[in-house]
Amino acid sequence: MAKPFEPKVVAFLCNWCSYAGADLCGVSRFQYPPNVRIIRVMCSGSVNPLYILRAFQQGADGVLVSGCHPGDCHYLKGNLYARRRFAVLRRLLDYVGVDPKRFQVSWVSASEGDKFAKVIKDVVEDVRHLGPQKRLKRRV
Amino acid sequence: MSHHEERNKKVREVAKKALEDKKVRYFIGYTPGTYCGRDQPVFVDKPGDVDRLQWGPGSTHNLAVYIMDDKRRPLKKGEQPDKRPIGIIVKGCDTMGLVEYLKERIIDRNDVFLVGVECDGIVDQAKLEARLKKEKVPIKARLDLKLSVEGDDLIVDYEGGNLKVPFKDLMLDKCMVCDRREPIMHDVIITRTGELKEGREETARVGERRKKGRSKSRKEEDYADIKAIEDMTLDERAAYWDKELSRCIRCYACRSSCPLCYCEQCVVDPSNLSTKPTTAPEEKARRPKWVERNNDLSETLFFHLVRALHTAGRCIDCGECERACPMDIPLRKLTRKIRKDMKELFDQEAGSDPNEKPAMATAREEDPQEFVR
Amino acid sequence: MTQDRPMKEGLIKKGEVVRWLRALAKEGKEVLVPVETDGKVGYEPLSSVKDDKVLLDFTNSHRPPKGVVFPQNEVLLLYETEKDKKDAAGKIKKGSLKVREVRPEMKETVIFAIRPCDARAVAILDIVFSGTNMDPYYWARREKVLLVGLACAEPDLNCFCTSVGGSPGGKEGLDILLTGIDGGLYAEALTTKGVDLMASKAFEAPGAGASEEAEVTHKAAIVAFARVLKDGVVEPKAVAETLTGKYEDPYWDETARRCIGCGACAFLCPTCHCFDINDEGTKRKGRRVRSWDTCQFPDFTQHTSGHNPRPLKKFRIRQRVYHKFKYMPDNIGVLGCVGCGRCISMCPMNMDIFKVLVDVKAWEAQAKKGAKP
Repeated sequence: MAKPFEPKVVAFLCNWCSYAGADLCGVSRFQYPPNVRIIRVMCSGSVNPLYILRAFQQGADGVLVSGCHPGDCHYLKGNLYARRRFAVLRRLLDYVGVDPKRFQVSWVSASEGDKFAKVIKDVVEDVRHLGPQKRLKRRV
Repeated sequence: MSHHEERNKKVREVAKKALEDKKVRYFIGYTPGTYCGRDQPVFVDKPGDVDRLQWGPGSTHNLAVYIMDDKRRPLKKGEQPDKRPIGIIVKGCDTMGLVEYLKERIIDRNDVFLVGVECDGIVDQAKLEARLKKEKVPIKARLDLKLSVEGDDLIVDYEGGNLKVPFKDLMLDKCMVCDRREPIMHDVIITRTGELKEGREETARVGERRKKGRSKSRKEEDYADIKAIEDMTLDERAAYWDKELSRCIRCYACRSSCPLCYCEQCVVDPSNLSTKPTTAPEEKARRPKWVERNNDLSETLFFHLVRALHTAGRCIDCGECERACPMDIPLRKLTRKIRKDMKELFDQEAGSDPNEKPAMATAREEDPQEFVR
Repeated sequence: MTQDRPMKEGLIKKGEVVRWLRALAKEGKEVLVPVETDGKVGYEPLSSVKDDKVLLDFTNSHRPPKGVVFPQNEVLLLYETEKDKKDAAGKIKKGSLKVREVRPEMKETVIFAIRPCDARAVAILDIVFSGTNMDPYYWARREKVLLVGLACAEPDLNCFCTSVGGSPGGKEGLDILLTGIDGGLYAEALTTKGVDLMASKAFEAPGAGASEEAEVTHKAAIVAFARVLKDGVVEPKAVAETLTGKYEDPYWDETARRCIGCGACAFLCPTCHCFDINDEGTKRKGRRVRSWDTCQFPDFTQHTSGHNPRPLKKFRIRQRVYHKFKYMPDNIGVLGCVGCGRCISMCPMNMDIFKVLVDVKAWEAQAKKGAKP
C-alpha cells in the first residue's frame, strides 16, 4: 500500500523573533505537524533567494521564511529588505509555474507561539494539497 | 548630405577631437560588420582610424558591456593607471545601463565620455534576413548591405539594387515600444539631423518625461506579452517555460552580453571561477556549487531564475540577452516580468536616476505585504 | 574515406522518401529528420513528425546533429556507498563504495538529410576520439549511427566549406549521399551499411548520366558561396603555415576586443569537442558526468594553483583559431573546421572566423611579396 504523501517543508526562522516564537510554541505544548525542517538564521533579511531555490532543488515541497514584524527587526530593516525580495521571488516563481503557495512568508514574533503553530499547520496543509514538488527538484 | 551621413561625420569628428586632445584613452563605437548590414563594435585608439566609425540602424550592440572588462584589466608591470575616460557611443537604451553603473558606484562618471545618439530604432537582423530572402536579393549582395533611414522607411542598398521598406516592419521588437530614443545622460549628443549639441544630465524619471508629452508610455503598450503569460493557468505557464528553457545550452551568452551581469564570478555560472594565485585552498574548497554544468531542465531553470532575480531593479531592458541567445529563448519575457513587478510593487524603474539607491538595497515601511501571513 | 565510385547507385523520387524512412523506422531504427519549428530547422524523430513536415529544402539546421554521437551531457559512471550494516555479532561493517561504469545504449539511428559539412565534422570527431583517445562512450553511440547526407543545392550566407577542403557534394563520413537531380534524388551508397539502407523498392535504377547531373548540382552550389565570391578561396595548408609566425601578433588582441566570452560559437560548432568532467551528487551517492566545455570560457585553462595561462580574451580567441587551423592539422592531420558558418551567424558581436582566414591569407600574400628578391 502506497504511503500517503507527506510534504517536506523547510522553514527559515529568524533567530530573534520567529525561532524564539517556535521555542515558545514547543514549551507551551502547542502541536504542529512534524513535516517542517527548521533552519535558524539570524535575520529574515539574511535569507538569500538562492537558499529558497536550493531547498526546492534538494526536494523540498514547500519553503517558509518567517521573521520579525516590520519595525521590530533586531537589525532594524532586515525584514523590510526581505519583504521586497520575497515579493519579487514569489511572483517570479508563480510566473514560471511554481505555485506561490509553496513559498510563503510570515511575521511571527517571539511571543506568538500559537501563531507559529497555526502558520506551520496552514503551510503544511497548503503544500500537502499541492502534492510533491517536481519542477525544481534536481533529478540526479 | 543626408542626415545619415551627417551623423556619421559628427561621430568621427567627436571621436577624432577626443583622441587628438588625448581626452580619452580610446573610443568604443560601431563599424560595418561582415554580413547583412550589421555593425560590429570597434575600438579606436588613434585619431587616424576614426573613419572606421559609423552609427546607424545596424548599431545594435550595447557597448556599455565593455566597460567592466576594461576596469578589470590587470595592469602590466610598472604601468601607471590611466585616469582618462573611455569614449563610448550610447543610444537611449545603452545609457540606462550606465545610469545603473553609477547607481551601483561601480564606475565614476568621469570614467566614461558619453557620446549620446538620438535613435530611430535598430534593425532586427532576423527579420531583415528573412525579407532579403523573400525579395530574392542575390546571396553575394546580402554580404555588403548599407542600411539607412529616410523618414519612416528603411533603405537597404546593395550591389545591383535597393529596397525601401517601412522601418517598423524590420525593427527590433523592443524599439517598437521604446520611449527613450533620446539618451538622458551624455557629454555631447548627436541629434537625428546630425547636429552636435552639448551634453546634459537629465535623469528625469520616465513618468515625468511622459508628462512633458515627449513620447509614448512604455507601461500601456509594453507588458502585453507578459500579461498574456500571467493569464495562463499555472500548468500552462509551467509547460511554456519548460518548453522554452529546455532549449538552453548553457552557453552563458545571456550573461556575457548583459552589461549588468558584471560579476567576475557568478553564483550560477560554473564556467568562471575567478581565483588568483593568492586564493586560499580553503576558499576554493568551500565555494558552493549552486548549479551543475549539465543542462538538465532543473539546473537550467535554477540558472535562469537566479539570473532574473539578480536583475531585479537593475535590468534596463536593452534586450542584448535575448539577441545574443543562440537558441532564441524569450529571455526578455523573464526580465521584463521582473521589471513590471518592480514598477507595480515599488514604483521603481531601473536606469532612470543615478542618484537613487539600488531598489533591492532599499525598503520602505509601506512596501506591499499582502502575501505575508 | 571518400569513395571514388559508389558501392551502389539508385534514384528515389522525392515523394517516396518519407515512405522509405518510415519503413526503416518500422524495422526498429530511430530515424531523425529535418523539420522546421518556430522558424528554425532541427532534427526530430520521424515518429513525432507528419509526412509533409519532413524538409528536403533547407540550407542547414540551426544546430548540428553532433549531439547524437556526442551529447551535451554524458553520464560516465555512477557511484554509491552502501549503507553500513551490522553483522550477526553486532559489529558494524562499513558500506563499501560501488562504482558502476555506464555505457550509452541506443537504437540504430539514421540521421536523414545531414549536410556534407556536418557529416565531415562527424568524420573529424571519429579521428579525435580514436587512437590514444579511444573513447568507448563516443563509439558506443557512433557505431549505431548511420548518416544519409543531402547535398547542398544552395549555400547559406556564411558557408565556406570549400575553403576548408569540403564541398556541397562532399562524401566524407556519409553512408549515403543524396543529390537532387531531375526526377528525384540520386543516391550513392558509400559504405556497406549504406548499401543495406538502400535495399528498398523505393530506389529505382538511376538513368544514364544521373551521376553527371549530380556533379552539376554540386558545382552549381560551389560557385554560389557568397563569402568565396567576395574574398576568394582560402587555402587551409597555407593558413597553418602562416599562423606559425603570427602567434604574438597584436592582431589577436584587436580581434578579441569585441568578443564577450560566451560559449555560443563552440556550442553550435559541429567539430568542437572539448568537455569538462564533474562529479555530481553527495559523498555517498552520485554520478560522474561529462559536459560540453569551451576554450572560450575563462576557467577552461584555470589551474588549481590559481594560475591561468589564458587569462585574457586575446589568448582564448587566438587559441580557437590556432587549434582549429594549426594544432589539429599538425597533430592529427585534420582541420578542426568544416566551414558551416554557424559560429559567424550566432555570434552576437560579429566575430567572424572566415574574416580571420582572409586576413591570414593577406599576411601570406604580404610575406610572399616581401620574400621576392
